[in-house]
Amino acid sequence: MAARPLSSVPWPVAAALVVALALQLAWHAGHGGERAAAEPLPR
Amino acid sequence: MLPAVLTPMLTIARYTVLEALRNRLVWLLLLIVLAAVGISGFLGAVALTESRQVQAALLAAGLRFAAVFLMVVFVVTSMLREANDKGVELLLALALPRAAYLLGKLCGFAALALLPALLFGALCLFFAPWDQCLLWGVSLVCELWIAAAFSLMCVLSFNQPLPALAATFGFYLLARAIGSLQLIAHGPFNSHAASQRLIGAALDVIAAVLPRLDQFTRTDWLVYHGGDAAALAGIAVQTVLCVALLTAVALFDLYRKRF
Repeated sequence: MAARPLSSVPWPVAAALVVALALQLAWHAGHGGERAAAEPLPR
Repeated sequence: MLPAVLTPMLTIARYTVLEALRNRLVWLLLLIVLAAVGISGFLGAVALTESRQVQAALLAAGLRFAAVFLMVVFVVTSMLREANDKGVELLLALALPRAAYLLGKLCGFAALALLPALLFGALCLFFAPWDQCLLWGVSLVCELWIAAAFSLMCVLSFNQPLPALAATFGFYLLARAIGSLQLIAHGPFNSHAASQRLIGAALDVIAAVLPRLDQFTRTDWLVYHGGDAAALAGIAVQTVLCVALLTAVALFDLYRKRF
């Protein structure tokens, strides 16, 4: 069964998806490196 | 406008909770509590040292996995039963947006997640101070919300129980292990070959969209009492971001779906 066209998605839903993805990536960029630096593996 | 969407949403949420209670979820939770107390008590008695800590750790780990398992299975089976009964078509034929249906279901599952978290968190009071139990319980709620949102997204996309359950447990396992995988990939013992760097980069990309579930509901809070408000703040932010992203993906998929 074919999906409905992209235009059937309301713009607030598409905007929410983009914003949520951007926030997720921004948060990860801010905290991902911090954790890796805080817990180095023992040599 | 808002109350017109809120009223059906709350009605759908209410009936979702009612369905879970009529499926004898409370009895199942009590059975899990009894089994977990029994098994952890037995293994704690067998332990040579730190038997109380061993018992607390085993109990917390068992309860955490059981809560996630129950939540995911309930979300998948409940959504599929409704789809097979043509309940979704009936609801979507009414004058309400698809978002109200999905958000209503999600609110129902979110309310339901409070039940195991409250019960299991209260049980941990036998082993740890109240503030650590509270932290553990709140973190379990957050973890259950993420698991529910992901399984809801999967079941709407796949429409089959097996792929939805497999994808959800795969996601859960990966989100629990991604921190360790990244540490191994970027560790000092690795060679700097191109394949190793490629694997490390691929893991970084995957980790960017995954919640760090290894930081959630940690057993060491109950054993060594090291949890604090900063840990909870990080968990809360991750939960909000992840649930928002998963809900947006599920909504996008639901709006494109042809019934």
